[in-house]
Amino acid sequence: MKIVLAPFSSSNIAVQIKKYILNEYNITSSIVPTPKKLSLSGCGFCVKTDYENASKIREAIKTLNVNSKGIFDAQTYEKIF
Amino acid sequence: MVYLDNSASSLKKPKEVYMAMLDCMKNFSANPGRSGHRLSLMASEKIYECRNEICSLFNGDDINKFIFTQNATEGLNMVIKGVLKKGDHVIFSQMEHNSVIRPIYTLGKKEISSSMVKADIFGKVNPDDIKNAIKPNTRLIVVTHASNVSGTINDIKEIGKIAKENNILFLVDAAQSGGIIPIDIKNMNIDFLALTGHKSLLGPQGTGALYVGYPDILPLKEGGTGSNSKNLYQPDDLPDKFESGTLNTVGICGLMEGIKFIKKVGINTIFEHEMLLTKRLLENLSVMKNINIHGYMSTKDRLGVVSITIKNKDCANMSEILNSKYDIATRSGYHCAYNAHCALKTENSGTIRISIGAFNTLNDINYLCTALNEISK
Repeated sequence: MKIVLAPFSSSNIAVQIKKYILNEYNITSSIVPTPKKLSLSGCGFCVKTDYENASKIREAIKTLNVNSKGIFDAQTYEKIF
Repeated sequence: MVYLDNSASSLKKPKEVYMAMLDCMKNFSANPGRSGHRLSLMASEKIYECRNEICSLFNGDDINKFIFTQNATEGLNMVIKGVLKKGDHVIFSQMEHNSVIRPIYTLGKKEISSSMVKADIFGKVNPDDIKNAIKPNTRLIVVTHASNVSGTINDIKEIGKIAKENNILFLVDAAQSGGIIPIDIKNMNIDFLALTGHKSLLGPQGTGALYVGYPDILPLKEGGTGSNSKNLYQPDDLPDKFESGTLNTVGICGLMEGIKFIKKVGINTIFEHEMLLTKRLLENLSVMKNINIHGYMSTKDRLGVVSITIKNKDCANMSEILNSKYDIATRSGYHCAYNAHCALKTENSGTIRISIGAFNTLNDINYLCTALNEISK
């Protein structure tokens, strides 16, 4: 199963996104440290979930109006959105 | 001990507060927002949940605008020092606590002018007087929602309206009122709301929150935020901009349970309970001929904070007798609010302050009144 990462600058934002997609779409996700290649300014946290949920994360980012670098393939770090 | 010093700090907390703090200390008091392991993330989630609880209690527009502080004093300093610049003017009331007055007066040495709006003998500030004090360079109005000396509640909704109409930022000190009187940030046009966790919010000491409705202010401190480490300047994102250093995670877990308790029982229910006790107290005090009440004599427009003096008796001595002979906790003196005592005409004597809390009972009040009756003769 393809996994995606949505990196954010702080755990605060990552937790908000995680809670939002759980409450709105019943999507389970986890929070992991951002890999260096995706890192915003040296640190940060990613919301990690299945590829099929990527569009929902995108909607959450838009709704919550948070800064986002994009959504990436967890293996290749290729940008998906 | 019959504890009637809740304005200083609420002694008894809901049991859930103790349990949550112990649970955090034992199981997940890792640093929130720093590391990526499950314990750090668990701590982060608790911080988020508490922020959410606070936001909903005060009808905030954005949870990220609620900054955790260690107390209301820190929040008040953040705003006063972060907003005011050279040449600005600030209005404050005569009933303010030193946590407002001292930073303002200190800034007075740096060409920031101020106007103190007088309160009446009951400790009430007239919104029209605030309006009349406005100058072209007025940048901030600071008013306490409820006095820590007389318990008098100010009309912050009306003052907020005046501030908004005149494009002036409005800071409310809700140290005494947060958790006991409903406060609606949006409806009351509040730009900044300073809260303390350890009084009516029933959390532990070392916790507090500040609503920052206008974030374009200088932070009080810069440092590690667990984000944007490569950036050598403080990030602009909220809440990080104003939260440098490790938060009091254990305390915040406790604070969250305090807030949940208030929501479960109902803020109005708790207020009515305290008013019932305050009514009994005021009724009994009014028939003790040597005792003067300073502030409103009824439960209208007041909290369960009652200041008294006893004829020909020193307040500190009386408070000490209440403590040592009767095991009753009160506070005597000027309560870090000397100007307020000037308004109440108690600047020479100070007062004995009796402050009722959510867990006080009628028995506590009856016992206090018996003691006061004896010592005032």
